[in-house]
Amino acid sequence: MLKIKNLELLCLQYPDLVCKYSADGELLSIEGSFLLNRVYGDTVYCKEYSITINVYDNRLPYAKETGNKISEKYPHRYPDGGLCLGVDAEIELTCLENGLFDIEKWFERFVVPYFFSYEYYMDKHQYPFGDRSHGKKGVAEFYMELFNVDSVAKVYKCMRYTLAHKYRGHFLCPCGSKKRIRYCHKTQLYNAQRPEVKSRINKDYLSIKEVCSYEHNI
Amino acid sequence: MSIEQRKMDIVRLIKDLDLPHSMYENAVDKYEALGKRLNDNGLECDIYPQGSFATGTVVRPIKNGEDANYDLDTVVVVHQDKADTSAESIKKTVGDIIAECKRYKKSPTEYDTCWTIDFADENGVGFNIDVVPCVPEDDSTLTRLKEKSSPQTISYVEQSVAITKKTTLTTYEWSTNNPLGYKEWFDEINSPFLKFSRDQRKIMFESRADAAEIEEIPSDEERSSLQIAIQILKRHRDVYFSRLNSDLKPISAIITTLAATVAKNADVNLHPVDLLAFIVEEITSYAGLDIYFESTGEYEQRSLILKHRGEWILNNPVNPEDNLLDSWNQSNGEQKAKAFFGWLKVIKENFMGAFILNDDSRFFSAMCESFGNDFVNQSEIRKSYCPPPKPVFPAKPWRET
Ligand SMILES: [Zn+2]
Repeated sequence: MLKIKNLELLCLQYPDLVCKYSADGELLSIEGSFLLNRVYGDTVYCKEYSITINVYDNRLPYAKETGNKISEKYPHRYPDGGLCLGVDAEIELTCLENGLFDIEKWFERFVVPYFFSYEYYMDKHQYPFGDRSHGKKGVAEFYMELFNVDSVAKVYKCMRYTLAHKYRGHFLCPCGSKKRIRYCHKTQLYNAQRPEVKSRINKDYLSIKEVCSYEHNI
Repeated sequence: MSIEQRKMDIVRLIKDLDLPHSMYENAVDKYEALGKRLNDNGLECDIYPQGSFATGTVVRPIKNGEDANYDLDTVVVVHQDKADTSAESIKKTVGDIIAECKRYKKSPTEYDTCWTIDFADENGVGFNIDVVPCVPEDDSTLTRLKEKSSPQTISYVEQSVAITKKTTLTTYEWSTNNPLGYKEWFDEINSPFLKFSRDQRKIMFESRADAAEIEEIPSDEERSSLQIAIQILKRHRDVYFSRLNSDLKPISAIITTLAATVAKNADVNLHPVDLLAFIVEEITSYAGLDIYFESTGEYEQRSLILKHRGEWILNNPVNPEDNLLDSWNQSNGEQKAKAFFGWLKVIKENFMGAFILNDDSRFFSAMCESFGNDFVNQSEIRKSYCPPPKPVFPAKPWRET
């Protein structure tokens, strides 16, 4: 069950977004337009987009661009116009707090940058912040970044630890650094054990395992 | 911002894409020096600006999505009889003299019809000069051209020249062309527009206390509403086609010819943006109608782009043997035609349509799309339309397979 917070804040900042509710008052979608007015380095974009955000009970919100401004040739676009915002785990780790999904944070950290990256890519043929491989490989890339390790095998060990143990700062870190956790992957392991991301970590653990065995380095 | 203010800001914006004064002076010095050099080396000739350099409609080009160096075109008319020389000899003689000149850092590059002198490496020059060698056209060709000309255009034909065309690695041919006649044709249409803007400026001068301190703009660097409208069209084209597909981009001669032809029937007191709207409207309303021969005389005159028996036609106003839409009748021609009209539609909807938007930032956003994102965002006008941008959070897009 996805409970949303900061919806008012989102609507305040982007007054052209309108919330649609079901008869019994449940939020169904957010529709309308917003102005991207952002800078990275010397590059500024000031551009308006139309979007529809569908909100679900049991999965992350799904955003679509509805003004035909995202080229079909763009690699990070679903065939129905859906936006490939980022790895689910990254979104959940960033936006889920105490069981609530911060939709304003999600919009600012993933939706706005998505459009910025798109424009930048179309103009300069490269991503301003990089992108991730499609599918499981991209998920593994995210976890490597999250745990700041250089192999999927190390990610696998960290995740296995996360799922099997309670946080113990004086234990040796599962990454293999031979340091104690509290001086090594303290924050990452602690965050990954938050109850609201537990099921996601569990699910991704299985795909990481797959990527690992594929790469024969476990 | 009011619509009037928005229009003024667009003119300001376009001015930043024009050849800067110092660069203009430098370019004139350079081509005049080249003319002198050619004469000093025994080649009797005159050198003139041509193309957008001659019509005052230069805009800074875009190459690979970035603002690039200006390309300035000149024509060298060698005082020799066409019968006494050959295309190859004229092209090579001019090229040899340029190549021997120690003042140029790089040897000139040969293209089909011109030599390009690259000044871009010199500090702050920022332009290339294309030199097209030619001789005056011979009498039999002139007679033939006159026979094909209409009464309105026959007077320009006298200035036709034979330019050289490299057809293979080793062979050259003559090809008839009329860059000087074109300039004259354009200037005649432009002159009432230029007079109007000059009068306007005079009124402004006189109303100002510091009138005496305002420098006169040299006449070659004055810009009429017609010239500005053409510059807007060309920049919009460059930006639009650099994202779409540059192979389909209409050449400047098509745009300038259409705009000037329409302007003959336009009010000289129109603002450049309104003149542009009129031009685009006129081109699209009568273009490609396949009823040229059945129609009334009046209708015929208003058709700008003709499509006759499946063939696209836009005659060069000063060269009856030059169909400016030749490339539209070749292999990917229909695509080019479609892209051209698609582009005009975008001008109408996205550019012209933006002036009536209530929201300033939306207007500004349309201008970014029209004239190049980085260029418009770095311009002076940004601050009056858009709040300062906030930094964007880094995020990496990802999708399921
Ligand atoms: Zn560690």
